[in-house]
Amino acid sequence: MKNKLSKYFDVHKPVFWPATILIVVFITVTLIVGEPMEKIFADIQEGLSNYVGWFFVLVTNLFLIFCIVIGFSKLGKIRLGGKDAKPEFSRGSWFAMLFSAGMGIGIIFWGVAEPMNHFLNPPQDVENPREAASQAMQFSFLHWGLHAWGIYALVGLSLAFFAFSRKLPLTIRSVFYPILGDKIYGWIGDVIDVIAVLATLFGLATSLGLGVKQVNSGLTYLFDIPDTVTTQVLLIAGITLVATISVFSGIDKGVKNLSELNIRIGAVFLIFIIAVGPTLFIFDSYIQNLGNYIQNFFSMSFWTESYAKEGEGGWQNGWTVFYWAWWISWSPFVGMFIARVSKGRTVKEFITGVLLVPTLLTFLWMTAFGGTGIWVQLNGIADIGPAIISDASTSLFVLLEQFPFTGIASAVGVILVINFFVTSSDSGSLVIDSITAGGKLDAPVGQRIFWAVSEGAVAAVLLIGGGLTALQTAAITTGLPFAFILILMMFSLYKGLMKEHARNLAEAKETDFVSYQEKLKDVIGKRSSKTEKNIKE
Amino acid sequence: MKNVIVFMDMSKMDEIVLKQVKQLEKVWGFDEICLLHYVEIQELTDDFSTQFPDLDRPLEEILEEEIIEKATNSGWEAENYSVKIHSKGGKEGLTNWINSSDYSLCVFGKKVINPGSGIFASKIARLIDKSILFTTETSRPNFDNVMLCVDFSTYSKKAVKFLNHFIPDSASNFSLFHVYKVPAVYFPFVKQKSERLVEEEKKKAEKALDHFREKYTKQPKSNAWVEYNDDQPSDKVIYNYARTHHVDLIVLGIKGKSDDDDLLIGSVAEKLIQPDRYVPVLLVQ
Repeated sequence: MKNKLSKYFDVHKPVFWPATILIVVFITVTLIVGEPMEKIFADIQEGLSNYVGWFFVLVTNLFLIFCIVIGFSKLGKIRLGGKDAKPEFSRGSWFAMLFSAGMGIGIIFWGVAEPMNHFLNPPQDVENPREAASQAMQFSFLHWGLHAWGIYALVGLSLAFFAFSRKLPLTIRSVFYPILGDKIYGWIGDVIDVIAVLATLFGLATSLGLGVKQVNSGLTYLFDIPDTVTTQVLLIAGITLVATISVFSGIDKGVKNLSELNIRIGAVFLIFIIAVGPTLFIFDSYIQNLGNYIQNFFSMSFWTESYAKEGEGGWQNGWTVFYWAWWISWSPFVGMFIARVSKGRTVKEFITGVLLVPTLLTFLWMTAFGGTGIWVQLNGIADIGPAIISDASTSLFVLLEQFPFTGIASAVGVILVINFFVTSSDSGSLVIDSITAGGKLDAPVGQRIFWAVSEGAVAAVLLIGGGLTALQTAAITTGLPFAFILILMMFSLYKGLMKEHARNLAEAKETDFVSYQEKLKDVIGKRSSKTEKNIKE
Repeated sequence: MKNVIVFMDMSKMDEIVLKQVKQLEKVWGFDEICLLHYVEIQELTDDFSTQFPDLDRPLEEILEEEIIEKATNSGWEAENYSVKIHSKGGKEGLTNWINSSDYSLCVFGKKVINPGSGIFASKIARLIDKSILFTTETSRPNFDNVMLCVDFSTYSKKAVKFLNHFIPDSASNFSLFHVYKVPAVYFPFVKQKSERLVEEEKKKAEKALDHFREKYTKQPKSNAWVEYNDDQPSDKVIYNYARTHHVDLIVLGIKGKSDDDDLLIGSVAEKLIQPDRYVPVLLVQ
């Protein structure tokens, strides 16, 4: 019986069970409490954001600065996997993979909605609409730019270093080896992994929830299917089922092909909007937005809305703080992926690649979609603002309506989100599964299905319990404890890298056992005495 | 021209190398041989003379005498070689001299049993643009079983030319070796590669190697091998194959500058000349 069971379940119990129980408790409580849960979620979100907003702003900046300093210091020369490690992928395909890590439900959902929201409700005082437009793009860049990738780079680098250079299992607890030593195998390590699992699961559920909301809006738009929570829950069930079947029937490869297809569709979609949209404006504003982002980088990064009038603030809580928390909770997922593909890269290469490549792509996406939305509004072509403000999930479709091939483009948008749902769910379960199985990557399929279903269930329950607010609350609540783990991670990684550096240095200085001088001495001694002997003879 | 520089480091390794080169000369045939020693202490300071109180003649003279004695003990005849002691101009002077000379091969003794870090040899190897042979204490001096690593680059072609030139037809018998990789399917995670794909890539690699063999060498078909890298670094695959198949010499055309500035001779070559690798290596450039 036991053997039969372990065919489907091979878990690290101290991580698997606490994580599972916490998730089940969460789902049950939300379902039992029902409607009032929405208020509770809103309160939690507001409370947390109010009190710890500054903390999130501080730490995300710290993580980014830490990554840059590490990457460009003497530690940047350290190679992941030891100094003899060779990159597994060519630089071209590595870039492609980093690009693909930056693509996902998130930018499709927020691509139009976010810049438009900032444009219509400027976070900081502006004099005219043009300034509002420019500021809107800057804040969108802030949220999707270097800070997000700084967090992922920190987690990815830590995982890669300890897994490849130190040969520890590919799981979050391994990163704390320099601080905790063998204790990582004890209860502290279990706690770390449980937090990582919860953070990943809720971060993923947030993404899935947003995705399904958008799919629903798209279907409403295309086929007039009602936009309700029930539809969304049914959609989650349906798509999760498809993902589950694909995992179970062993057509993993199908999922992989789907992912690659997705990236291609995404690229075509981006090119489409650039082509049918205001092409020149997009390129112009891309350059200008980049410049503005660089120019205002520090003031925006450290802005905490502190001088807002009494009762007026709160913008940042709903946006910046949410994003920082979301990225943090999402970081084991992306971190694990970028770690897995970055063996053999130097720290410097890793940091530069991970920070710049996806960031520049995301910025282009934001400019193409969000910027075009602003352009439509700014030039009075159509008043798409109110629809977007009232429901962010419709924003993509509202925008596409302004351009040719609306129907096809919207359908492609829906397909793209569904595809991303399936692939995110699949690879997300792989990550969670690997953490709960003690770092194994080839754990039984049964577990992955369990996690895929859990993600779907949590996303559904969050939607039932309070829609977008609940999703955001989930990200912030699980992001907070994980932020503390990331702070420790910085110290641990620094310690590990310093040790590696010292080791490399010592190795290089290792000199010949018999020094050259001694050899010379021998020769001279031998020859001189010979000469003396010769003279005597 | 088959002109050779043999590096002497004044250790016991010199005799071993001299014997090996002597033997190799019988098989490969050399035109000119220069026994060279680089004096690592270039400035003769007061400190130096107090350290070596016995020094009663120019250091160069003593060293030359020592080398001649070593050569004689190893069965060399005086008319067959020249001796050069490089004591001025530093490493740069040395490499400039070598690069502008008409010597086409430099021989270093690599210590795999006796203590030695090999730092000097690998440093010089990065600076010169001549081909370099690293022999070891355990080398079989005839180099009967030579393995040329082919990656189909221009460097591999260069290496083949070199072998065709250096190894006379009568003795010529070297095998070709190619390590093939299977392109990875990467998103979202890297997993096992399918056997079918490995098989497919193998066929492609075999075909390419065969084409290379026919076009550039006179070797029989049985002398060409491909091996799957299976996520191991290429240098490991090459080395393991060489060890298990009693290869006497690994030959590699080197790429020169790679994108990392500290690796001027290519990472595979770099690994193969590490002090813990027993098989002699010839880097052709």
